[in-house]
Amino acid sequence: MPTITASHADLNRLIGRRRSLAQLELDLLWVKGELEDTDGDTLTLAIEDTNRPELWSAEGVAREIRTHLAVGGLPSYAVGRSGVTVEVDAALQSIRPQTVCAVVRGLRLTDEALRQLIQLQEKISETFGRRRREVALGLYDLHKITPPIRYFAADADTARFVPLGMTANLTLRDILRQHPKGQEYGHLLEGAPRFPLFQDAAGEVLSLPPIINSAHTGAVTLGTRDLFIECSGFSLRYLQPALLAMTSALAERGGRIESVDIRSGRTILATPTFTPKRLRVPLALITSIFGQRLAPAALLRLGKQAGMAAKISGRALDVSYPAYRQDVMHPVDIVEDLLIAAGYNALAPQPPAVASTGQPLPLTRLSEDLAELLVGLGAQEVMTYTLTNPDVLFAKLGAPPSPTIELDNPVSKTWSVFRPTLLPLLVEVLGRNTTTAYPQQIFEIGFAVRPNPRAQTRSDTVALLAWALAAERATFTEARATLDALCRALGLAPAFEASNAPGFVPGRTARMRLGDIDFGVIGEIHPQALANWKIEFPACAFELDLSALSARLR
Amino acid sequence: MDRDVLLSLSPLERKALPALLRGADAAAAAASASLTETELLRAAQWLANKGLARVEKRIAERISLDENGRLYAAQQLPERRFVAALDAGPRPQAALQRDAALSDDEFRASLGLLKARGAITIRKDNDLVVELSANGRALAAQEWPEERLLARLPLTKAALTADEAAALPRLAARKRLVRIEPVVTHTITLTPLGRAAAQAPSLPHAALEEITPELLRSGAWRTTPFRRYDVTTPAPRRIGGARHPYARFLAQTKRLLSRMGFAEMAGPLIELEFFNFDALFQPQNHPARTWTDTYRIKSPRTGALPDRRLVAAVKAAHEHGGRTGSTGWEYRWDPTIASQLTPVAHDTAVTPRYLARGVASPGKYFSIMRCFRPDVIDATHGVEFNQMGGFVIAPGLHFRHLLGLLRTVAAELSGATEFRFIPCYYPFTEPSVQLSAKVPGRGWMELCGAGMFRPEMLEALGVREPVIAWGFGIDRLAMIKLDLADIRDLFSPSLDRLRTAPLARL
Repeated sequence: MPTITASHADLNRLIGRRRSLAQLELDLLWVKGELEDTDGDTLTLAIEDTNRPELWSAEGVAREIRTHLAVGGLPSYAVGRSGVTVEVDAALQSIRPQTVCAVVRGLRLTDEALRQLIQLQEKISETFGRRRREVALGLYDLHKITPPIRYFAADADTARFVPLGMTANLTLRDILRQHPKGQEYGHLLEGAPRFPLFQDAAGEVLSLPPIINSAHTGAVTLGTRDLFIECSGFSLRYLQPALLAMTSALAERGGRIESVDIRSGRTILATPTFTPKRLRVPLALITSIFGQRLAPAALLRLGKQAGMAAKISGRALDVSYPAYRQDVMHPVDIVEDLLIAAGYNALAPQPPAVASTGQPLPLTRLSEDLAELLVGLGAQEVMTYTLTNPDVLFAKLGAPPSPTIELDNPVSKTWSVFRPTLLPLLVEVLGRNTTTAYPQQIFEIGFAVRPNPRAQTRSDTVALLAWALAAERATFTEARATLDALCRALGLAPAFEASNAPGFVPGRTARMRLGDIDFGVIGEIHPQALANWKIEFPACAFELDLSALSARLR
Repeated sequence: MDRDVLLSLSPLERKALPALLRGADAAAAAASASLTETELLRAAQWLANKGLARVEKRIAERISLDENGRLYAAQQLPERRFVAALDAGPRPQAALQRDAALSDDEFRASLGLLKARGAITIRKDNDLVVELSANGRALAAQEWPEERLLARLPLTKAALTADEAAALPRLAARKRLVRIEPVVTHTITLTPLGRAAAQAPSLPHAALEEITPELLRSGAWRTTPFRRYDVTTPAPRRIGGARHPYARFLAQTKRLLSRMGFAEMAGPLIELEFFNFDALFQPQNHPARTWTDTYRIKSPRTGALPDRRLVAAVKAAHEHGGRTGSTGWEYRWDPTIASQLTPVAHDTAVTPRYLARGVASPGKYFSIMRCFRPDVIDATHGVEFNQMGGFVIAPGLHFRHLLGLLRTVAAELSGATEFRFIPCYYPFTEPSVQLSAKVPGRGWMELCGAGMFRPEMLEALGVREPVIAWGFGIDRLAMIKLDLADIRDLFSPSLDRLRTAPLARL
């Protein structure tokens, strides 16, 4: 979700009306935006849609609001011809093959306009361009460039220029090593046989995309009147809207857009082009989503508010919408725009009359029943994290490590492994409450994750119940008495088999079986485990596999 | 004598009363009633609460001999020995110290003290020679107040004579001579009511204490009255079992949704990206799918993709929109990315499994899932969090149904009555909406995100009817209900906290 800052006064100028903050808050709903913060004249706006870069500037937001307020219909931008050409080298095919470019003339940039320009450039490259991989956008002072321009695969070790922010004339490879932007984005050219380069007819380098502009041509200031703009990447699907977002924003500031011819081999593509896109939206689809039939006039008005030109033709709404709207994939996307134009809060909510019988899962019912029984027996329920670490699971308990599902990129070592059992976490809870009054009788019902190479997700998620008692008297019999109370309530008569489960006192631990399912373990916690947690009261515990029990009880 | 007063007396009070009639000193009364002083004082306090006695607490300073004080009381003060040894005539220092049997410290201290009082003179005659002055000879003939005081200790400060009182600070300033400590004494006086009770002929007669099985068997309760308890006395703290407040909230929410006709769903905690993202039409280059925004599993990193037809349909949806008329995301969909394993990042991950398997329509479904994202942990981002989501499938569902559903569910869950629908964006819904609600005591809050599933997603999963779906940040709702400001407190491991937490009204 992109967040941008804008000046309230500047926004009002661009909209062409004075909008109060309260009015703006509502206006922003039209761009899926929210006023996050205000600091004097500076507004922080969060724009929800990650696919609409044309909204990530004051100019774009203002255009949308203005269109809504004025029921303005399809915005249009005239495009002249610059006469500038860019020759694209076929050798870039495997490196960074595509570019679209434009010229914008006649700018009179204010401080705020320049700030918006740079903010939009950054948001396009970072967010829409996926950290410059899909789109890198460069701006240049047209007067320092001698067309035609070449976009070609240059030798990384012989081609050189002075990058923006430095004074040394460096090879492309050295720029990647030494320039901060080279270090940050250099991985995008990793393994490339040659590096992409924009260079003019005088041999002056414009930039090494997607890394850095040259110091000579690539510095834009308040005094810059005419701009050359390039976008480089892999797919026109991303490049075209990025260029349109930038040029249309500049046109909102009074700039005149001119096209550039992109020549690759024998094909010539003139960019940018604002030719509206068209889509037929079935009226039935609109009706089915609105949940009501709209009068043709109302529908056409909504279309105009949403910045579209629309007419009804046959059983569809024939819609022309701006070329920068690359987020439109399907007619439903247009229907949403119509809904937003109508105003979500102006629609009449209607709870669906779907008659159905609701029910919790059998496992949920079993868990709730057991929790109720245990609370009745005086136990306090606790809740721990599913993520833990080997120290809690194994070392503290004195148990040998068993396989676990481990995170590759944990935020902290403390929460890096999914628990395969629940009991160690209850012992941890006892260990964190040694200064609290005893007896401490606790339980938890929760999920654990166990590796299973044969499962689709290579793991099983199992529901477990664990119970523990730390008290003056906390014997095997105490645990067994509580477990028996639960089993009696469920009508189960498990068999107990002596076992040597780690973490328990040898000779005082057992596994429980029901027919051929092993559904748990019970015993006295080993004094070493208690000592490791500095617990000075004896403790006994049991753990049950609720997933297995639930399946059995059904 | 009021019978009720007599019946309200505990055995301890009955025992103490006659003793208190005889004398007011607590220690003495305790002895005469064969009670410990603590027991007597407890009884006196109870009597005072009933208006039968007055307890006066006095704090006095008690002066007693300390270690050196005891020694000097037996052997005389060092300065007395000093003066006594000089009585026979002047002495050189060394001889004087020996004759008076003084330690170095005692000698130095006595010398300084007597010089200051003008009792001795010192002259140089080869050696230093000490001699009593006239004043000193007079002193030697008298008994000093310090000596009288030492002999009379222990005493309370109030019992000192004027010159003893003047001498006390001088002794107190010296090392371990006297000890001054506060002593609490209780004087208990019976009120007229108390005196009457103490003299009541029926006082010695027993009142029944606790009702025991023995008492029930004997039937003694038929003839003897019960003692009346002070029902305002606080009782000892009892710790019982209780649900964890957050678990209780989640359970309540599940019951509520079940009542509203929703059937519960559940899914695995470790999921294929295929179900977590791809089947939800989230493109593979979406920022939320990067290493910094999504947890990955160390080993094995990938799982097995589901059946080929489903995978092919999802691939088609991403690449060109399948048969929906959509353009799709227009990129090459990579099955290896889809087969990566991830802990579920959002509750909606459970939905595609159910939809692909086929669900009864019309139908309403929900789930509450523990979710995992690599957020930096702070007051609003926990290690793990819960999300509650669900969907309704039925022919003819439209966007206003979604708005109506959201308002109903949100009103039930949050108690809010004012709502605002905000257009928003999710890759898998169109139209999309966010619900803000004015929650009592908290103001406007974003409660849930929702939308109608996109046709590309539904077509790939083989669903032919509209589906409206929603997801609540249930943790924020829980924080409101449980009155918590920090999300980490939802999982607080403190038993003290759990034991003292008031039962939240859910």
